[in-house]
Amino acid sequence: MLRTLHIAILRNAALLVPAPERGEWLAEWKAELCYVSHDATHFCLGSFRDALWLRRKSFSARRAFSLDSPLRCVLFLALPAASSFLLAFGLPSRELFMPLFSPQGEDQFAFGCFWLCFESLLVLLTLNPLGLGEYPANRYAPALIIRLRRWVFLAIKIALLPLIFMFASIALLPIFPPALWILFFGWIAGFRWALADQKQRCAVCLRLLSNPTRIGSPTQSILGWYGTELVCTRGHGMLYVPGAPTSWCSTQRWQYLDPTRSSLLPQAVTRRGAVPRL
Amino acid sequence: MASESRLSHTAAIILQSIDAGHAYGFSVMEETGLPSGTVYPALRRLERDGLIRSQWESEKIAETDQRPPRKYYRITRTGKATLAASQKRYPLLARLFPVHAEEKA
Repeated sequence: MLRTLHIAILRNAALLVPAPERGEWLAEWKAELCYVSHDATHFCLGSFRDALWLRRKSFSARRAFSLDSPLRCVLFLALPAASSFLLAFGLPSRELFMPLFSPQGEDQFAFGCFWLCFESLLVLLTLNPLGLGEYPANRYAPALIIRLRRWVFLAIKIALLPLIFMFASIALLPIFPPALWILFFGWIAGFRWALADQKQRCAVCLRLLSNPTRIGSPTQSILGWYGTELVCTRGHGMLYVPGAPTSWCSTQRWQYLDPTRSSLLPQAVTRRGAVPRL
Repeated sequence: MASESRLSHTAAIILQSIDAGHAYGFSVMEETGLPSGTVYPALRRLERDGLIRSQWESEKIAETDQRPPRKYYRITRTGKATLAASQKRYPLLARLFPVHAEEKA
């Protein structure tokens, strides 16, 4: 009975341990428990401190602010949008800005925002191409609805970006009149980032691609392909980014992979969480 | 060198205990009198800093003794250097484990 309670304590503490280390962690604590002859409950309760330490260790600032998953990326944009909205309309500074929100002022302001967005779009078109690369469907391509998620994700990003800069400029306008230019330049920078971010994501799971590998050499571009290959750690596909656009490879190209290849990739290996035995 | 200066008294005691041959967590606990919630996180920190190295016991040996396999810890070369520095910093550290002191002599 008591043994069951101790195992239950350890299992509960194990929930705090990061998943890849959990199996080995629990095996160690269970093995140690076998040698504890007295005060085993106190011993098991110590496992929470150990588990918390492992959890803290796994939580690095780099990972916390990583935009690897699409949800994190959307939250990364939604939070500043919400914050700038609160700053714009929830603070006393809003009172200074009230005259603008007369019916006439509202129209003028909306027209100004629209005009700035339009102008920044013109600048964007001249600054960089809007193409996202080629994503030819093959037999391993997922269903259309999954492929459409990529466009929905891009649309959400593009919709949130002007809101951030618009609310930020409204919040700053009472104290900094040229703040409306934040909308103009912010939107240009934000849109460029949204496109660049979209190009580096898996077409299926929308996670950021990893393991960039340089292939070939610029001096041998006539004889063979050169550029960078990126891979989805979940094995959904590979992205080929040409080092220099050629007539036969002018833009980046995505290739859906055979699902059996996922077993070769690191994410699939760590998911097994095997306990090493020497 | 950075890890040498950062080693706390508790971590130094645990490192000394491992160097003395107490190779697994519960043994370190019994020897040092420290609670499990202190010993195991300290072992992880020492391993992260490269001062000790862990190794799972062979399943065959554990099966022969009819017990689950244990995770053993061993001090590394860096660990030994750090321990030597810690012994200078905490002069009473070496006296905590007289067996080891005799072995050294």
